[in-house]
Amino acid sequence: MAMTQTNQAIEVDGERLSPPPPPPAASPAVSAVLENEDLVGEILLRLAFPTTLVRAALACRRWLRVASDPSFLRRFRELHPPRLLGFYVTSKIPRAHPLFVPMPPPARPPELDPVVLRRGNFSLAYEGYTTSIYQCRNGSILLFKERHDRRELKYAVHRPLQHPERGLLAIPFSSTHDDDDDDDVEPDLGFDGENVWGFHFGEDGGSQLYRLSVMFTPRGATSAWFYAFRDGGWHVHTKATAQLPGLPPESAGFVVVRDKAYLAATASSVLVLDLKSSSLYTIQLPDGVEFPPVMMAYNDRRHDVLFGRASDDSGVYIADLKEPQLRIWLLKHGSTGWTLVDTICLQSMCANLHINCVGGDSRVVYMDYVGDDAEFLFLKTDECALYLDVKSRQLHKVYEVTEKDEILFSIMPFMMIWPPIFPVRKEIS
Amino acid sequence: MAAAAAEATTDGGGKMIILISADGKRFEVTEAVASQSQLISNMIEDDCTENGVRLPNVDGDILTMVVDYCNMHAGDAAAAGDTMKASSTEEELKKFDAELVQALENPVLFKLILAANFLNIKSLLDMTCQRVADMMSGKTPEQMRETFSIENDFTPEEEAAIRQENAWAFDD
Repeated sequence: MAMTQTNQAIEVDGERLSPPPPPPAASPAVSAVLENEDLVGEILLRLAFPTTLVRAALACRRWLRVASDPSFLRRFRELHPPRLLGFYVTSKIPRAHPLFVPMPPPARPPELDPVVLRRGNFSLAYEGYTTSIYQCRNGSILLFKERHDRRELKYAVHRPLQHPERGLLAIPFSSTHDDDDDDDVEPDLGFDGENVWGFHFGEDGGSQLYRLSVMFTPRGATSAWFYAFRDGGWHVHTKATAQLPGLPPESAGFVVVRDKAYLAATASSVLVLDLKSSSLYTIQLPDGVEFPPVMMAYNDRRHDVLFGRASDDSGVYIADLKEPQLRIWLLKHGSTGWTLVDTICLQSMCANLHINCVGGDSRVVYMDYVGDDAEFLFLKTDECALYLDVKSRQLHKVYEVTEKDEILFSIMPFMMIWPPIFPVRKEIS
Repeated sequence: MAAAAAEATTDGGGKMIILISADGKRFEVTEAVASQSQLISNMIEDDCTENGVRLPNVDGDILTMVVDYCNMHAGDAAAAGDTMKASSTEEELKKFDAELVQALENPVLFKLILAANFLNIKSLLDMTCQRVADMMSGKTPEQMRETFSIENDFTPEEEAAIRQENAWAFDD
């Protein structure tokens, strides 16, 4: 077949198809608008969903050029922050694997149903294993799999949006200094002797997995390691040591914002690991906020103080729940003090859901997750997951346990992925 | 539409200026109404609207719509000091905008975008660009090309690569 036409023949399954007929000529006004990249940018900026943006970028090279421009993508993200599509609920026994729960409309617009229902709702059941979800960020999910006989425990990363077929990337437990593959040894749940540890998906599309490991000693010598996962193993990215006043209180987990990791240091201070300068130091918590003492609470994920991050990496949030009052603080990078950004009384909101949230000895509500910019929080009781929309002051019961002995453990948000991945710009200019 | 007197007059205290479309149609509007166009607002400041403002790339039928729009929205133009046209109520405005946007189809919609861009009327540009964006909602790349008569200039390999990297955007 002659290939002289502008539209190339397309090969599908080895069969050559005739080029599609060229589209009817556009009216001059339509062409004038659609050939003006500023105007195309104004139009594409107003698409409500990243799914539509990706489709538009596939219309022609000019649109792809506009859509893949970094400053355009920044503006698009500001106007249309990634949506919460659903969440994964892990319960304590008896269920062997987490459940995916789509957010109810209108939080979940029908346009995104294919993404949510087809890709978010992948099966977490693995024959012979108990699974739980350890982390979930920008479409990347860190799974923990434990064989029923407990002889095999492993982490794996799954990216259901990119790879719905459930391809898993196996993550070893140990750092490079511990590669003993003896099958008879049950692997440790963490590196030797560490007090606080956890994983972090880097912001470069969530593709880079990091691991933080912190070791405290009673005499105050504190060491922190930050590992990057590369070529199937853990590699030290940053290591720092400092002298601190003793052992930490209950862990509030940790967050990494830009080049800093934040975690609990003492009851009233936050330990900061500066990944750039490899230094460790502490900052004070806001007045009146204290990390609770260690009471195995972390293992139950029953948080009273939790970190959150600013989506533009401009600072770190602290949410402090003293039932029925919830306070949210922000520490901007470069500023010296915390700012109280919100105070919310949960009492009447909870009462509407028939939850008796009055504090004291009969407290029932805990925090489980602080969304980016503290725009939403997941709260929980033993029986139900609660979604708090901070701006609109709406509290919704989004999940309730179904089994008799089921106790809600963790709630991991499944957010819309961002940004789309476009080919490098030089190839399309 | 009624051709207005060439010289600027005053009506109820607001100074009037004349807009002249590409096909020679003349529109008399108050400065407050016309100032919603940043282009004209700048000309008013520079005092060069005395002999009417020629808009050689805006047709009369499009300028009619633009002037209607500006008349309706004169009330919310911050610059309007003593607008003599009573500002429309919010509900009327919403209804007017909704009807205008609904009625817009190719190519009038795109002519209006060009006019709003040239005249620099931000709210009208917002509204018309939003309408085009809404037309794209739920469409496949093929349907978008068809709607706007766009030629596919990707190679099959390039197209496949983008689809593969962002497969989540193509579930239906």
